[in-house]
Amino acid sequence: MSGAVIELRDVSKWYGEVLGINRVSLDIPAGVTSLVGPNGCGKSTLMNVLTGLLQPSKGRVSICGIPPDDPERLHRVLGYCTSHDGFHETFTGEEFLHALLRTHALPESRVRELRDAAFDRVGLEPEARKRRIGGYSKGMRQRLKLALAIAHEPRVLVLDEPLNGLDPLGRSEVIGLFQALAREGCTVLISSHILHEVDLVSDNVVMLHHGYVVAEGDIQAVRSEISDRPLQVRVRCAEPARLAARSFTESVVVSGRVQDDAVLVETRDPLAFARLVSRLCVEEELEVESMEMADENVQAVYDYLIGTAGEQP
Amino acid sequence: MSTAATTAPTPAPGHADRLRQVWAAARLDLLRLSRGRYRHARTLLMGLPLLVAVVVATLIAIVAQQAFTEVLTMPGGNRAPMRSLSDAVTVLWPLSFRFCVFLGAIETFGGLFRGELSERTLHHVFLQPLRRETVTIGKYLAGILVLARLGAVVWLLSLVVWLAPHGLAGLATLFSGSGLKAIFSYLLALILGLAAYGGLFLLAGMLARGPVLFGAALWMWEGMAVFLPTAFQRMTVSYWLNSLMPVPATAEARGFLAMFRQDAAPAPLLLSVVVCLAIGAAGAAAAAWWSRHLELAYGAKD
Repeated sequence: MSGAVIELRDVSKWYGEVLGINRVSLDIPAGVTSLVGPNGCGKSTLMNVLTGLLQPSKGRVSICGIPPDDPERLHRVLGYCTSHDGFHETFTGEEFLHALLRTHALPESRVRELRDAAFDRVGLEPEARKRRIGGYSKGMRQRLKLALAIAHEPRVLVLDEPLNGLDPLGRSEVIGLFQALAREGCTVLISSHILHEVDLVSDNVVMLHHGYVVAEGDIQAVRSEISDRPLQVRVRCAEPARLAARSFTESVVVSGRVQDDAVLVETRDPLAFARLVSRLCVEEELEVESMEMADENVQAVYDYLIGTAGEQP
Repeated sequence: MSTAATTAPTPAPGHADRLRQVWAAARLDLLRLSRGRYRHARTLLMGLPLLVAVVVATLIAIVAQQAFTEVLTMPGGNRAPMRSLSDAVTVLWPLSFRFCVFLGAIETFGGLFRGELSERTLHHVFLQPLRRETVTIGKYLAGILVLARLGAVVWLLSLVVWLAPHGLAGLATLFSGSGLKAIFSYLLALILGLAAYGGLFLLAGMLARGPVLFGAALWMWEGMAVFLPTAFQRMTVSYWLNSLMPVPATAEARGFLAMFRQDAAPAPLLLSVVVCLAIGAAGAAAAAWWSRHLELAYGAKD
């Protein structure tokens, strides 16, 4: 058995004539993996197939070695925060989560304990828990969905657009929650269109386009394989114009431009460029504050591979 | 919270846990049905016999007691005074069962899956560690409990209200040996009828977008079968339910149509019980099998 927690082998899903996903094979390891792609690329289909809400037209799926057609075992280890927004509107949040946790055949005291811990974790206030779901704001509904997904302490979390409807503070809190869950050993698969935010927590990325996987793996590794695009390096320094004048003439620099307090350089050899900057610091007495890869992130890789820069995936 | 603390294999639940899961699934649906958007319509529909009983009791109170028995007579020329329990049963039971309970069962059982699909809430229960069969049985049980509770309360209250104007003597018939036996028989028929129709409508709700059409077809078939040879009558739920009743239901069709009726001899009580349960179990089992293949996309194809 491989080290993958989530395995897909040659999985396809067709809705009649319409393609959902096609021949997807993935080994998703422990940690946080982000699933990105434009609308209609098959993200939700992939997640629904993983969690058993849809059956693959072809191929094999397993989570922790458990196939989706064994829900009694699968949904003890798996939590899924769907993109569907339907609730029993006349229930209170507390009643709803409690009723669903009862299906785990746990003692009532344990159900109460898990319920309250989940609400505490997602930051749903005690007053809100006792209100009818029909009166919830979008953000509260999103927190309730997250509570439903994590309440039974799953080993694997699948989260479809979990940041939707949350304000910036809420998004920050929820991202903190994902990081904490990952530290506790939970495998998290997130789809989100807020790429710069999932980038903060993702160890790996899977990119989908038109139902196909176009890239997968560690974000740096994926970026390094895009050979037709020079890497971007941002150097923050006190005198960016002087650094630009001295460095742009060197062959290691493909192109560059000055941005406020930084120089943004495109290079095919970032190590050679780093050596150049070190040399210039000594020779020209330049003060460099920081040097970082500017496009080793999900957004940049997404733009390069899928080519929809500026368009929300 | 110690999420993912263990990587130990996850065992499947035992029989006792499965029973608890069935009850948990049933409780979820009991609460959903009790608070759903159609709860008032369902209560009103199921409460219709009580309304009729109240009207009758009021008329009895308004009209002179003796005269009323001549004012309100059975349709088709039956001139028996409506003072007895059997009179109440003869009028209220067809209304209660053939109309209210039947329609209530279409709405409730037909909507157990279909309603949740249209409200986009079914995924919540499908994402719990429950077999689809467990979910189906839980829902089926919830449907029976909701309607049986409502139907039983309405039935008992209707009889009390109906007999109340006749004073203590009228009410005493309810608690006499034959009265209690009649009450028990009709409650048994109510539950078995819900079990049988419930299984069929549960399946219809799973297979068809509108279980009403199936319900209408079944209604027509059950109504028509009494005019067909007795072998066909045994292919209806109402034949087996009628066999449970202390008062024969032949009085339902009178006048001109009565000439064409071919009333089959009632089946033995035990056989009727077994057949009703078997019909319900077959419907629920087919629905459970179908639920295993049910996919939830709610129309989205992302």
